[in-house]
Amino acid sequence: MSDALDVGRGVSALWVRAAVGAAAAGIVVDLVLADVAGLVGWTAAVLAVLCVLLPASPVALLLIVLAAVAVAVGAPAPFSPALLALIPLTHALHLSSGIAAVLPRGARVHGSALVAPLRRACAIQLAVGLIVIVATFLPTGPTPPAVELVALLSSAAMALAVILLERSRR
Amino acid sequence: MGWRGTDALFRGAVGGVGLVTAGVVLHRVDLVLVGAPLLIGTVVALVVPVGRVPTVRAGRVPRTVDSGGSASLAVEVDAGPGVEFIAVRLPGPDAPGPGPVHLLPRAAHYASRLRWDAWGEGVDLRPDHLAAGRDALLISGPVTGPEGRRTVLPVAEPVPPGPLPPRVAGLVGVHRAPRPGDGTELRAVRPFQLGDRVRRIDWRVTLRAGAATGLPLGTLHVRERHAEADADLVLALDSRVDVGAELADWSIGPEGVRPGGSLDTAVRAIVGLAAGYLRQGDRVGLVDLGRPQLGLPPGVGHRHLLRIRHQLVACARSAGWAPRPVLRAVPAGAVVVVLTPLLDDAIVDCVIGAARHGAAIVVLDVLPKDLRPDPETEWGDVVRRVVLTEHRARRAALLAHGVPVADEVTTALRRIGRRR
Repeated sequence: MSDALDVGRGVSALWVRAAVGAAAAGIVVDLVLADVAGLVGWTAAVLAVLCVLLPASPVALLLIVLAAVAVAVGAPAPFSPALLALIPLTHALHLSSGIAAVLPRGARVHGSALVAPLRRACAIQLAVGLIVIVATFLPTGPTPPAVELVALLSSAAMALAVILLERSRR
Repeated sequence: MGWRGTDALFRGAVGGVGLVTAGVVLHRVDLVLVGAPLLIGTVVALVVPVGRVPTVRAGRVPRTVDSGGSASLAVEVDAGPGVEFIAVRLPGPDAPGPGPVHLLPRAAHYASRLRWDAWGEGVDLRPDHLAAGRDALLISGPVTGPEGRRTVLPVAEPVPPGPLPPRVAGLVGVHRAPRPGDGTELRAVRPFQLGDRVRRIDWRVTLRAGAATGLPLGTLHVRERHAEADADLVLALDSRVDVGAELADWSIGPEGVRPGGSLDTAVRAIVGLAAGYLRQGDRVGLVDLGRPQLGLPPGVGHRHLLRIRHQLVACARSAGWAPRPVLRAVPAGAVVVVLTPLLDDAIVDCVIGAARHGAAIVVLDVLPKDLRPDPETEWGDVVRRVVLTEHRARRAALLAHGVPVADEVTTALRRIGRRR
């Protein structure tokens, strides 16, 4: 059986938890640098700790939404450095929490298992980067109602696509 | 068990769609940009269907193996192209038992290695598994795999056997018997008697005797030889206690046999002695002092050695405290080697009682040599000294009753030899 994948030692799954912690901590630091402090900052810090302890919970989603809203409300400009840093950080938190959630205590992780998701994440970040570049060239000001309608329909279509794809597995 | 969504799917779908929609409605491009990777990632991950529920099947491994050995393990996985991760519990090179869960990329075959460092019975393979789709948005499992139980036999490293008192009824063997026979060792030179074989006549002695008396041919003399016979060796295991060097662990019952403990040492010594004497053609029996029903009558041959190794694993499985050790059904003329840590008076009484009935007994002391006191109590060193003092007193009592006590196998063999 020459094509068999050799199961060696791998690395501890704690490294995945560390990645969750690093992404969550990065989001908190990003909020602090964006002058988001007080109750929101402390709430984000608590959620970051809970993300590491409970990766299979909605805590990560709460942190992502909290950070996005806080940066959107607090940032003076639409394309602030805090926002540009938040995009990959939230994506990293989403991915690392997803993987950490399926691993029991004491598990071992093999690097080759992470190649495909990392490659896909890089491609998505490149695509979002292109969207950011395009968005910076778009004129600011009131959006035509037709474009808004198209955008809302696109969002609805994406939501529908997710539901249909998720159901198609059965 | 079918596929189901995870928190990551909920996060990607609800978070992604929610942030993008909120950004569009509120005219906040920053919300759209934060939600976009989640939404795009979720759609991209769900594009490839995960297909049917994956199955994981471990290859066959022998039911009985030798300690110190290893074997390769092939694991077969049947999973669709949408499966990205397989988390499967597999034995690792430095993980005893079924091992940790390994997060692996999807593949049709995995190769792992099973190692058996400690003897005994147990589960060393249980391929619990969980399959996950892209980004772990969908999972199937976890599924508890079938247990692979194995009997790991103590390894047989033959000890060079020493001389044993032969059985009276033995006809053939390698040990010198006290009675005359057809062996090679000279017993006596004596005058010819009726019934002596002519080829036994020693002509040189006969002529010398004739010259001394002046007769042409004096009294015929024959060279008498010892008979050679096999011997019975009974190995008695004290399975009632299993102690290691750490006194603090004595009150904690280990899961299985304590590596390097008294039971482990005794079993390895028994296998070594049995292998050495069985190879030489002697008869070897086994007695479990704590559970006499688990003993084996003396037997010969390679199959008997295998039987003894299996029985030792059975003895270790049911090992535990028994108030009265029992040493009975010892064949007449057999040498008994008792392997015990000498931690109670009952074993001393048992051995002395058997010695009084005429059995040739040697005690092999398997108490770990460097006992370490419990560091968590100030009485730790006092306890160690009390244990060692009582232990010395028991050894002295055995010696006073003519029962030799040895600390290692080779010394025990020498003591056996002196008892001829």
